[in-house]
Amino acid sequence: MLSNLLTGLQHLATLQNLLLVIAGTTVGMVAGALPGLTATMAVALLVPFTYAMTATNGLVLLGAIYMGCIYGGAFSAILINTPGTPSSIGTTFDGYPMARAGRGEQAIVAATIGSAIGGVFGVIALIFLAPLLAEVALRFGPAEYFWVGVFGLTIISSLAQGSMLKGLAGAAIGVLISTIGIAPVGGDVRFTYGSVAMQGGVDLIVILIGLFCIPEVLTIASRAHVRAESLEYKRDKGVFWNTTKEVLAQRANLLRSSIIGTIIGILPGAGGSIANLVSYNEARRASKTPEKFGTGHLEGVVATETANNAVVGGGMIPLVTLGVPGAPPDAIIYGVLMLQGLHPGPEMFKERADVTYTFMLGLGLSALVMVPIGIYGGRLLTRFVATLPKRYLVPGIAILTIIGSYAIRNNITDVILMLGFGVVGYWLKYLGFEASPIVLGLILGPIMETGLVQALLIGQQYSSPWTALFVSPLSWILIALSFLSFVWPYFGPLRRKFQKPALAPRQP
Amino acid sequence: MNARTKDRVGSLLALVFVASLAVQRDYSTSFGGIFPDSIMILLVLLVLATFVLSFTPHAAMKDRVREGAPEAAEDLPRRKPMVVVAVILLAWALLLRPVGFALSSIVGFTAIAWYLAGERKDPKVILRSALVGIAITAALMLVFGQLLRVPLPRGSLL
Repeated sequence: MLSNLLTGLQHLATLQNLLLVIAGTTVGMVAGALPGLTATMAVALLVPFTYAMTATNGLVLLGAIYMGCIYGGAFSAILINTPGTPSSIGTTFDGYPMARAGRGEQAIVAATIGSAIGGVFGVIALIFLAPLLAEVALRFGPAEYFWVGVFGLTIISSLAQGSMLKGLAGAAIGVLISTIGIAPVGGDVRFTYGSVAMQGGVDLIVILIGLFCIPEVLTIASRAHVRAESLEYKRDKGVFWNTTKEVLAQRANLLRSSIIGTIIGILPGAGGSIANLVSYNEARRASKTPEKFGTGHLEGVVATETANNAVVGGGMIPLVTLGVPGAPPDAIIYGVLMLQGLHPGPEMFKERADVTYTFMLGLGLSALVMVPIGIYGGRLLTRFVATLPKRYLVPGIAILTIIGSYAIRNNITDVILMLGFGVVGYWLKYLGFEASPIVLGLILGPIMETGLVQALLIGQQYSSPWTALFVSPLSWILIALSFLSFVWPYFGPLRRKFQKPALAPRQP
Repeated sequence: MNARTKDRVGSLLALVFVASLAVQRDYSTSFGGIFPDSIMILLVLLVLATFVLSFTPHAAMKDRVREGAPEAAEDLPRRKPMVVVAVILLAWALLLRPVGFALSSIVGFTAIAWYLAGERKDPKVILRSALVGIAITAALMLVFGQLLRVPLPRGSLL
């Protein structure tokens, strides 16, 4: 591993990659600070910039955008009381009261240091855990991959907002869309609606841009008349160092939030939107002064911002080892990996270790670069975000979605498909079918189908071919995990009956 | 639309989607249909369960709680701008083939920016929207077309 790390470091330490990290982090921060632009959307919008790049450059850029975007959400959460991304919802609880009380800079510094520490923690977990999981994945056969898919779908459905049934149904819809085109085993041409263009299936990036960007574009358009009032903050001497010391003194909070973020990142589909709220709640439970939470307490800002950036590295663990995205933006990075001819799994750590380690170290560097950019450029960033007219933002995003969907296959039909998926995605979201389970279904569908059919072929030696799905201990472990994740939501109400009441975040 | 109605409409639409796939079932190998058929059955069961559960007293009670919540008003974003922007986007995409990226983007950008300008729809707003549209389109053409060498749609007429 050490030699791989050194190779990664060597590749990252080129002027080109360093500039990409700085540019990606800055652009990500701007996108993240814009209310309405989620991290997933920002990463999807900026994918076309990577089409002409090498795999390493493209991944380094997207990783930095993702990291910067999650951090950027804190600026609008603190200064506008509107989370820039759903990952910063919890930051509004204490960040905005701090800004209103004239402690905006302190809140920004706390968010910056927390984000950097969380981001680096997640990347360290990624660097150490991913190769281990990749070793385990080497022992996976078709049956195990099928169960990995089932596990991914059950867990995202149980974590889905709203109804679990709808979460599962959304995942099933995604899986069915993935079966359009030529079957991975046997070569059957299926569900093309009579169109030759559909024989190759629907391009993943096209669907991702449609599902994640267009519904948000339409929502921003519907609220274009709403003007966000931003609070100002000015930099005072000594605040940075004093706040940094105060944040670093919160060792337990930093460690707990980093671990929560990393673990929630590893769970397929969960992401920063859940991690920041769980972390906030746990910080409040563990605090000696829980009554201060919600009134402008530094601990709250540190907890949420540390956790949401730890998700970035954590979410990459199942992505690079098993091809299962940990958080929604990872789905876009999965699409880019496929576009670049890289297949997540053990080979990422064997044949393409140079790319993988450069990417992982680039994420860590981005977490560090956030500190100077955030501290010195933060005020400029918030001023830009507060004054950017939405009437230019909406068509600006639209133009990028068009380029992104067209340039994959130089096909205008893909642009129309992207818009179609976007409008359908908006209505599905309105009806309670979230995009995340659908996208995970799209990604896991081919993995599950290939695993199932190959396992059934291997199973011809048994009296029933289906036996092949249940013969290995690894399969049983994955079945048990799938079962647990499926029944877990039903334990929640039971657990609450025996526990002291949960501490709900207090709104300012 | 309350949550129960959303459940019912969503279930029916999902059933229509499954039906649109089911009528195309024509597999030439024995393994081509095992997976999609299983998922279709699963989806039908899930949406039927969602549909049936939407008629239970529990669902009605949850709806009453939601209707009383302060965020219920948020459920209804302004529909008109969304529809107008969606239509402009579709027209923009359809214009790509005949007139290409540059012209369709300038027109599409200007139309959306002008429409979202709210009450101030005077000629100055159109001019400003068009100038911003031209600048952004030109910048993107330079970045993608010249620097990154990413192909952009060329029109068949222009």
